[in-house]
Amino acid sequence: MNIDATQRIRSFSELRAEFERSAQGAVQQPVKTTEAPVISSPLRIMPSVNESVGDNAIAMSIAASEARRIEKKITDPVTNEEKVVASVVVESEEVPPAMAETKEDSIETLLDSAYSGASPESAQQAVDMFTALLVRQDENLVKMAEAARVDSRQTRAYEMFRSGAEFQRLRTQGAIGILRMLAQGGVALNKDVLSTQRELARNLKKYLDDDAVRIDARLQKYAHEAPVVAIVEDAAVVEAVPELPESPEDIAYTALKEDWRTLRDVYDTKEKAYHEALRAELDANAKSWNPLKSIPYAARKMFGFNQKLSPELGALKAESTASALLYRDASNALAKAKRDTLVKKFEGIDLANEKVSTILARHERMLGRKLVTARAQEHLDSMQQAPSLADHPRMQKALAIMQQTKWARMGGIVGIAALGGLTGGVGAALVAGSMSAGGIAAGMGAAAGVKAGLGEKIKTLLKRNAEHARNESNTEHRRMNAGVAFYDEVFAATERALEKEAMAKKHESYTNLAAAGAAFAAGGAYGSVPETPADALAEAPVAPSSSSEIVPVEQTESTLPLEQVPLVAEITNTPREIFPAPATPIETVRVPEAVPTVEKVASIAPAVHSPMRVPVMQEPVASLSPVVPQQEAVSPIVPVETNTPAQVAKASLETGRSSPSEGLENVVRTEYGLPVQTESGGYLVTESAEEVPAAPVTEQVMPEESIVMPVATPEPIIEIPLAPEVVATIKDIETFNVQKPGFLGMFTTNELQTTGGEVYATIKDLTLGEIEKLYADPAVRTQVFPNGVSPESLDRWATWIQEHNTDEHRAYHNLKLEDFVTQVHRSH
Amino acid sequence: MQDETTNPITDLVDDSDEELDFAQEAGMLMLESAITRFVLEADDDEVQALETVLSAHDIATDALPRLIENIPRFADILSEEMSGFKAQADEIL
Repeated sequence: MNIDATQRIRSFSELRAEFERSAQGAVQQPVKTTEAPVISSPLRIMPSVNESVGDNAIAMSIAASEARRIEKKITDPVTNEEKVVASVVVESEEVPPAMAETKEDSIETLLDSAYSGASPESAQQAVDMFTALLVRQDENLVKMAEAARVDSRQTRAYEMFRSGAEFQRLRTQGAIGILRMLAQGGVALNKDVLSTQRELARNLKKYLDDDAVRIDARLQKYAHEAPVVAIVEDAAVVEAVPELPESPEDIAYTALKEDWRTLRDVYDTKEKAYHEALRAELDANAKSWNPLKSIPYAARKMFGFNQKLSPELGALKAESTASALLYRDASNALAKAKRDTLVKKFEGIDLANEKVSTILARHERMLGRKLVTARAQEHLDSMQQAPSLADHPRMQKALAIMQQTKWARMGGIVGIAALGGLTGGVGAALVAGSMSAGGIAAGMGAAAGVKAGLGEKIKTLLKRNAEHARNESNTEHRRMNAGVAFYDEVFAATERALEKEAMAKKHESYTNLAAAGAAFAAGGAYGSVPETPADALAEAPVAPSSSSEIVPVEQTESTLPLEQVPLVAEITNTPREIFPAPATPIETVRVPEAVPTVEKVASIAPAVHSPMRVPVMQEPVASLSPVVPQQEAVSPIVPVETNTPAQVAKASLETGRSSPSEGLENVVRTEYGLPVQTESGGYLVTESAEEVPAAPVTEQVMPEESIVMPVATPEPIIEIPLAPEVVATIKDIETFNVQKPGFLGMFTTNELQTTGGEVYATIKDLTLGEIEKLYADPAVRTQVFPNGVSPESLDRWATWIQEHNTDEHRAYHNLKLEDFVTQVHRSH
Repeated sequence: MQDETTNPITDLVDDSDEELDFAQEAGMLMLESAITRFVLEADDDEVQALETVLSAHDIATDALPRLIENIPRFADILSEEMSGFKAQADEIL
């Protein structure tokens, strides 16, 4: 559908300018755009919970309380004569019931006759009636605009009513179009279609009347009070007027946000109205469906995304689309206004950087996608839930087939192909081309081919979706995620990210750390934002820091590369989220001999915390000592862990020594219960205990540089072979990712850095089945990874392994990881 | 053979979960619409053929090409749905 062909979409700035003109009274009100307010529609949903609805609620309340009184002045539905309107002040006057019934009866009779297709005269009368109703709406909106000009309390209500009026106008114009066809005669419309249209027209009439009532109620409410603008002239009252926002940027932002909310509600209302009409029409067209035959063409052509809509439905959809674009533009404009307010608030900080541009660009991209998927889901639901279709055996059959997980798995492939088509990629031939079966097959092949580039994430994605399909209705799941809150979340996340970035700009002392926190808080996908606190720290400016609150009596000095210096707060033994220390530059660290306990160090974390929460991985406590400034560099790297877990396990097996986790009271332990080793090879202990010396190394077992902890593992659950040459080839995440692109992201930067890339090397010779056991069995896991495994990594591996072992490739269960990577994965 | 350095899918989809989530969600919507349409429009034999293919191929990536090759109506409907979805998405994106 070409939107431009049906109606020109006004830009957000145009709407904004129009509103400002009307509010200031500088230009005559644009009569043609003033129509019935939308709040009378039963399809309208209320604003979200975090939104003020005060004025709306007032209007609704007034309308409800005064409806009976004002209804007495409602004009004749056919002629819309002024005589009835003039009776508004006669509150006690009662309309004889018989008269009211006559009105209703006359409307019903008129519509019955008009939509019978047999009375062009009645159809023409109905055309006149609806035309008159539109004129009345225009007049009412002009009154509201005038009221808003002289009384600021009316401004918001006017804006709300005016914004919603377009929807009513389009629907009414659609009804008028049908009625004109009937009035001209010679048009044979399906009886069901006429019935549906009649019902729509009846509802429209009611909506327009109700809107008129509400507008009148609104005007009446303030009619007996002095307008606010007059009161402002009184100096005593001026003080009571709320202060204006501090800056033009704030004013602009506040105004834009009001518009944004209004446009959001308008879009939501229009979207729901369109789908409701679609559902009703599909229901009407499917009623003649013979259960033994396929769906009638009239309904079939409306079903799916490649639908052929009637003119009135097309108009509704076009209007909804237009409102979606307005909302999208308003949201984008509001995000930029937010940036401007932050620049002002933080006294001219520079937010014209690439990171902010990325945030704004992502907002625009993601918002569009949310709008697309939310609409498509609602569209699909509307069709599936059409009353005549929902309970039919064929529909039930379709839904039953959809419950099979295979479909969920195929979705990723189809989506990738279609997404390619959306932006002109490989899938373009599939989506934008001739759409032949061969084309689809080629597209599927292309989609499968890209798995090598996308890596295992595709499978993980499909796995996740398959789980959804098993555990719940996909439709229900997506419906829960759709709607206003769904696409509003995009803007909310953007605002948070901008605020954090601004705060980081303002407070250089924790600039990059705060930015990292912003990224994590907002979803973690903001382009150049560092992935880990360590990364953020690495980017932090170098400057001396003051002394730590805990100064060990005796210290062993050493120097760490900046990016490997962990944060003090990371030792709070909180694996997922902690308050990190300010990212003050740290050039050296001193590993105290009398290391404070985890509890003690944790107690200092609040004293140095920043307001940002940053997820961190579990770190070896030995590397998390308090830091103090130090000028002299001693050695380039502190070996955080000199022997690999596999070596430990192997040594345990061959020497038969006791486990490090046994017989060591007062030893500081990791989250997984293993003692924490110090740089000297001993163990971290609590204050009341001396450091536990490390046991001597058994040279015939371990490499020369290795230090073996005294272990006495009862029974090694699994032996981990280790190939040192592999360890040497995987030293950093860049090397790792180049060589093993399929595993990109399986390990975090933090994990790789703290283990020197040995995670993969440690487990590469294990079978997938063993790896599954390794990660699934806490005892084995702690033996192999004494420093702990991040929850994120554990989740990733558990998902990945489970899929490969139990779902698609049972044969891989006994395949070594490295063989899988070099053979199977490469072929994917 | 596809050149990994110029893989347009990876270029446009990138490697983030968000991108893939969108692709998957959109794909599921298209599939669901296509399947529903197919079952509503097809005759009993065609529906039975679809179920047979699904039963014969446990792996999803195998089943989809078989469906496309063996059930022309399904291929056509899926194509239409993908095209329709693209058109609708283009209105907003």
